[in-house]
Amino acid sequence: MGRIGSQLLKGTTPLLVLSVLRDGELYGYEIAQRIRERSGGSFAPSEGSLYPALHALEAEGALSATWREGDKGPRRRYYRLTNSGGALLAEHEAQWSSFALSVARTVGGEAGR
Amino acid sequence: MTLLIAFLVSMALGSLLYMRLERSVDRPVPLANTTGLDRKAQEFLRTLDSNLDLPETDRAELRAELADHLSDSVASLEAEGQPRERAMREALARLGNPAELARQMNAAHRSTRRTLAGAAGGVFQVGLGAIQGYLVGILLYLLVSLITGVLLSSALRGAADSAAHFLPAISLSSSDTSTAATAGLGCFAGLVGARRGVQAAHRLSRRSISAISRWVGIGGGAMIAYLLMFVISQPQSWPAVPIELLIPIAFAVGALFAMRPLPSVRVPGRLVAGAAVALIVAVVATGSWSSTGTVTASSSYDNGQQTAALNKIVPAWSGDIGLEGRWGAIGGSVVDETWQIQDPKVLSGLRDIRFELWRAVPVAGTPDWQQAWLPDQGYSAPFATEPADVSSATFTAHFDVGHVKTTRWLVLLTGAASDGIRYRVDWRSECPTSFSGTIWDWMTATY
Repeated sequence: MGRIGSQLLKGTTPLLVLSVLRDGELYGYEIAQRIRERSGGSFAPSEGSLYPALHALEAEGALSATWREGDKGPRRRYYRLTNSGGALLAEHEAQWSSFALSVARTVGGEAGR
Repeated sequence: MTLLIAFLVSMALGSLLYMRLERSVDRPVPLANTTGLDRKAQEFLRTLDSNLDLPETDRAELRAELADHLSDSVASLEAEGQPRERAMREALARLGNPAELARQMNAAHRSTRRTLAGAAGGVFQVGLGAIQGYLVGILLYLLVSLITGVLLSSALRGAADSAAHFLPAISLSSSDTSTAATAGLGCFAGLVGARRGVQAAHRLSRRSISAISRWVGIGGGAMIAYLLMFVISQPQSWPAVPIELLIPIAFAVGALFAMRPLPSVRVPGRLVAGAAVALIVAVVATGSWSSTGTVTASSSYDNGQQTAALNKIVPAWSGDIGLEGRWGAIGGSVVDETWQIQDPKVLSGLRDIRFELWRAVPVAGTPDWQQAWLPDQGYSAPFATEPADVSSATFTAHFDVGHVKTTRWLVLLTGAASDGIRYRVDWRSECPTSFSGTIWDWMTATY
């Protein structure tokens, strides 16, 4: 599968970030890698937009961040999903499902109905 | 009372909120690990940092986080087989333009939640800073008063006497001085409070400090000016009013220059100790400590002046009225005088018995504290009159003069005799009041 364009990715970064953090805490670079891996290389979120998204989610209280030493490496800033972040993720997922279904119906014509 | 309770409760809640938020802002942040990053990467971080409009804690955190990210990214690309220089270029390209990234980061840090926290914490810090500024101002005022007092009554006594001889005399009562000093402390409190408030609001909200400074400085200054001018009622005097008008200006200056560090004044301990010793020596040597404020016998006044001046406006009644006692309850803005008489019938020879409130001027050459006052000869009629109900043994005069600039009064008890002349039955001096009202009240009031 080819790479997905940045226009399509716009607005999905918070959902992708919250999704990969559901399984546990990660630091910025790991989050970018995890998204790339999970999408099979289709998603390559701009790292320049990843950090503003992480900090905006933190400012809203959806994520909490702490500096600590990693299991194997040096200290990193780890992000963790908060309770309100979990609720936000559920909300984003519901919106995304509805959106994806609508797009599929529109683009797929009869097949999508 | 309700307002006071609401204020205290909000201050308590605000302090808890502020302490909680401030702890999260002042978290320890690791330094950016830039070892291994080349010149371009360091230039990237510098450009990013210079475009960030965030508190230092957030900026340091972001620098460290992105330095770590670049190191990870370069290591990963090198592991894929790219040469180091190319890997660094690629890692930087992935992060994009540092100025644009900084702009996005500035926006990302500004949530509604933080804005509300910044507003609450800022208001709390304005209050706390104002109290702090007020207390520091009191200490400074006491120190300056002490030093000035000692110097004027010792080393600079000759110069002060010469200056007093050539300069026009300015009449300043102790209440004038205290209201002016209070206004001066208000300026200091406004300056410190605004500065601390802006800094706290910036730290908590992550909004641009220059924008907060402008809003708080101009908006807060205008609001304080409005409150002082039209809403807050307090004792006023001519030296206090212009100083009070400086309070909103001091507040605006404190807010607008909140981002500038205060000048670092280092006073050597030896200098302080030397000054303290010199002060003590001066006090002991001149004995000025005990003599400050005393008045020589030559300045005592002649009581005959008062009687003569009173007789000029209302002649004394010769009849024996047997007034037993009198006392005055003189409030800040009210003249209350009470007379007591054994037998009210002794006043039956007089009709239309009334209290008269006359403006007073000091007897020339006497200090304010000696309370030597004459009726102001510039007026031919009393400022106010009030019928005296002499049907009982105790009768009271009550004049509310809080909104009148004149602050010294004489109260006369007068009555018209059968010859048609109004006579002075008794009189009472030493009736100081203070003007109480807003600045606007003071500016529009008459003497």
